[in-house]
Amino acid sequence: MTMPIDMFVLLFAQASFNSIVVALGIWAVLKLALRIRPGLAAQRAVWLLAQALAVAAFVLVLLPQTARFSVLNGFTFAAAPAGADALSTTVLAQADLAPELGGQEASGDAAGGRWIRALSYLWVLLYGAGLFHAVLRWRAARHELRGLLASASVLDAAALHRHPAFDDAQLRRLARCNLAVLETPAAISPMLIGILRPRLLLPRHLRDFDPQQQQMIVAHELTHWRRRDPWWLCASLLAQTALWFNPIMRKLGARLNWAQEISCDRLVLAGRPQPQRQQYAAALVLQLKLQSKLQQAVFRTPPRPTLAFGDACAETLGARVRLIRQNGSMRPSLLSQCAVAGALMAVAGASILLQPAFARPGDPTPAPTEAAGAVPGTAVAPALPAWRPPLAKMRVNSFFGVPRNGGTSTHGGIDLGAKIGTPILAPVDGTVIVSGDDGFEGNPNYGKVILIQHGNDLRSLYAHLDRRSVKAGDTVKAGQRIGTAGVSGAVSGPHLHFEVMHGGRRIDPERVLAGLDKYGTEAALRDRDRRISH
Amino acid sequence: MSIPSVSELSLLKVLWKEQPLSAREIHERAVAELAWSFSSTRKTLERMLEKQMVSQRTEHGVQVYAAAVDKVGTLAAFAHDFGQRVMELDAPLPIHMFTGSKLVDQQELAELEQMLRDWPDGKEKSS
Repeated sequence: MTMPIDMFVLLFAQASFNSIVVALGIWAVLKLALRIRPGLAAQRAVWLLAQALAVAAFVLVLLPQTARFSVLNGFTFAAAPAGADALSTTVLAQADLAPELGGQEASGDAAGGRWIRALSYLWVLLYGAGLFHAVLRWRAARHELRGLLASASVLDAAALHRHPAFDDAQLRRLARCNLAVLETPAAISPMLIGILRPRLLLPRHLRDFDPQQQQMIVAHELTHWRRRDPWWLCASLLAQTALWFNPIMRKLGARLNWAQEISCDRLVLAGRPQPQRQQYAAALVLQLKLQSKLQQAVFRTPPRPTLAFGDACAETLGARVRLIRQNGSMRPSLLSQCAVAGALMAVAGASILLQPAFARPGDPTPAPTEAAGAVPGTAVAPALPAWRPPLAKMRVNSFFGVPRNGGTSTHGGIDLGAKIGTPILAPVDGTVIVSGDDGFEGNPNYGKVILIQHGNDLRSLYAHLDRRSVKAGDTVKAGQRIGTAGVSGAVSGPHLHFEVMHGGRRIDPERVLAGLDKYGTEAALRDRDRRISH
Repeated sequence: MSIPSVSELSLLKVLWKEQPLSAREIHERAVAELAWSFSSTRKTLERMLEKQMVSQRTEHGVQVYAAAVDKVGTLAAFAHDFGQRVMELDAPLPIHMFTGSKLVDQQELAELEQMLRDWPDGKEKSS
């Protein structure tokens, strides 16, 4: 039961880390792109895509089966099966790298594994606390907003007709999209609130503005509504909340906000002459002044310094006013937009390909095994025939009988490092008695398995296969290809779990495969020697 | 003047429309907005009585309430208080503010006004 939880916790920590790495990569790419094409800053799609990819980088790692896309399986920690303190990390060395890298890969040991696990659990707790805090903040914010709305009165159709901020076209649009308009005595900024029950909240002082200014401000807010900006903003806020630990998400969110404001400014001002643009900018500044007064009036304190919300240097109001002054579109070409989108997706894709897949809990270790703790050579064992190796290139990542599950059980077979698709060869003649996709003896962790009956009352089992090329009842010859290694069942990276049974009991495969030691990785040999010394 | 809470304001708004009213009548008119029980309305009224936001007297053997604070002034104070808090909120809210979600200091304001003064006249483009 704890096994999947352990795995999930490790994956969750990895997913969190991955999303930060991807977001940083995306941020770097976007910074570069903005230098070449500053107009991208006003493209809402760019910032939405960036946030979506950061979320995807988080979710994809959590999904099963993505680990198989990783090209770095060789460097995985094989988080040993769960149990009290089981995380005897053995490093699954990759077949083609093993000879060159040798012992360098054996970086993990039991203590390191325990640390990783403990930190992962700590992280999940911390994440939950952060999420809880975000929910509390959101509730508090909603309360403030409710208060502000309670102070406002709804403008009915007659009142709207009298209000100078609305021209006939706008009134028709309001009626069509069921947008309620409210007016408050507070000197707030005109704002569009909510999604399901959208409301346009206007300050009463807006009536003192020039009618053309009023109309342009209302047009700005209605443009947000027409472009479905509130929906996108809401999606962005949800993503920011889910990935609250990712500082880049907040930066991207601020950029999205900025892009939305700039775009609406532009749409409202399209084709308008400079004096009207100046009027618009003046309305913005006047509004800011009134807000600044509001701050001082209520608390009698000077306005607090500008909070570093997002990238202060790029998103100053000065920059916005300069953009308002600029006549003409800065819309980047479709080509450059596609190039940026491609680069962002490449960053996210690379993170999936390069993810350091934490190993899934090791191989199933059902009892009974013949030699729990038995030392080869000390037990008097009948002589058995010599088999040929089941893989052309042998590498033992984990030996038979090493403790698993925190010492409550032992490894019932051996793990042979093999990339997905490595052919598996029958070690000796026999008859296939099981060939299935649903594990072995009711244990789904085995994944796809083949069980072969040989002479001398011996059986051999192959687990976590990618493909099976024989079916039950088939006769196989020594050296015949029976399937390929893979990652089915509970595994971290691709390997072949190989068991040998004699008279119904699991025995050390070394008894039919002589000289396994020379194929053992350093970590595997160390674990095995520890077993012997116990 | 003490600024009412959101629920206190809801009750005051009922009274500003029509008064005096009994506690039951106030509750009936405010229940849609507050979505709470009669006893909550009564407790709130008691608290408002202590804060001198409402007055109470007996009419035909029934206790009735009237607003003791001025509508315009109270609403303005309330609105300013919440308006200020919403504008300063850095918590994420699905809101599009015309001025953006940033606070501005005096120096920035001065710079913006300078930009307005230096605006190009754009005579060649104006209609």
